[in-house]
Amino acid sequence: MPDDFESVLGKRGRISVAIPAAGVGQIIIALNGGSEAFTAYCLGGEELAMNVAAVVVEQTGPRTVFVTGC
Amino acid sequence: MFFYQIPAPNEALLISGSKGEGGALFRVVTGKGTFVFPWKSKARFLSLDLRQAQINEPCVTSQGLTLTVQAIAVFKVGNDSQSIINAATRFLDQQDQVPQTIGRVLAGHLRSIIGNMTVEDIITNRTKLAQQVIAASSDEMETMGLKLDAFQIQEIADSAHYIEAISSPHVSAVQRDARIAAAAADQAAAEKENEAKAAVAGFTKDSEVAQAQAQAAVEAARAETSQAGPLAQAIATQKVTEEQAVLAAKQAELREAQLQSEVQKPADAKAYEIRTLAQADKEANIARAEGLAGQNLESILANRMVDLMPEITKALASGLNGANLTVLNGAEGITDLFTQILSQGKTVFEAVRATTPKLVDGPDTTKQSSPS
Repeated sequence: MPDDFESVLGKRGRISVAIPAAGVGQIIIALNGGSEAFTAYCLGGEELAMNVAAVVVEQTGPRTVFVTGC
Repeated sequence: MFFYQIPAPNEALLISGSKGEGGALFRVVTGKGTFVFPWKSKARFLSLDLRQAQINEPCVTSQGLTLTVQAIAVFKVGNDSQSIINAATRFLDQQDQVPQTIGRVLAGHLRSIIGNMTVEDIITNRTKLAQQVIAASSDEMETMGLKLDAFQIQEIADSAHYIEAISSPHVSAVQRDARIAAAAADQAAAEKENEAKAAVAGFTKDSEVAQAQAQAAVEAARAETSQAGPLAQAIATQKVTEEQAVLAAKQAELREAQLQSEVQKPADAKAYEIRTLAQADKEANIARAEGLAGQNLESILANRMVDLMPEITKALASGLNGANLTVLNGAEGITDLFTQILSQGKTVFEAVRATTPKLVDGPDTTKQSSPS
């Protein structure tokens, strides 16, 4: 990863689209002085409702992360 | 200038000619400047601006309804170096065509998204729509180095009028409620109006009654006033009549008293006299009857006197004959003579008794006859 870009690993964000048990949602994370939305999956079949906080535990693609509730 | 290149805030500077960090095919520089030496490197700019694609696609819902959905997708190249590299390698020289291409891709996604949903979900279930959009498009978009910032359905054309039908019960209910409310309001207003009219009528009636009563009182007073003169006259006449009646009564009393004194009293006296006389007569008769009750002596005596009268007269005459009577005193002399004769009655009577010895035998008869 280039130095220009912050890593999202370990960052906290807000679930902007609820993540169902076997589905996909979206998390908004403060990044590079702005905020960006990432496609988010839950780790271990967890469910996350809208507007709850979550932590990024893994990044599988440039715009795709795994999160877990906190 | 002087080989120093600075990307704009919405641009990424792509420098080819040397490997980038982390095994990248080229260097990606954002937000800061760097020297680019033309003899060994080539610099290009990739816009990170927002782009938009308009979608107008006939879709079939999970219920089999055909809808023509108009949507707008807003996207941009991702801010991270991976996304920038992905995007740069795909459409650095075709940046103008990106919206069109992405629009076509998203139209296909939209068909699959709508196919998983019902009309009701599309209209009301925003979370499901967003999830479906992300699930359907995020992998492809990510591969192209793009990030879908917004995806909104703008319009749904419903040739079967399904949405209209969904809304009609609610519309009908709302219209019904509106009509009920209007009717209730009308009714309440009518009630109030009628109450007000009734109240006005009541007030008018009260007012007119009061006026009529006042008028009647005035009329009564006026009539009384107008009749006062005749009334007083009538009262005076009545009093005069009463006094006249009293006078007449007094006169009647007087007359009665006069009659009492002039007629009644004498009549009473007369009646008393008659009654007394009658009483006396009655007593006398009773006594007489009692006297006769024993033996009808006196009657018999009287009858005997009548029978014997010629003899008595003869005896008297013989007595006178013997005495040589001379009447000297004229009329008086005759009167004296009769007096003398009568004075001899006793003697005559004795003589009669002597000739009727049977009658004088009873001792009671003698006693009773002597006082009479």
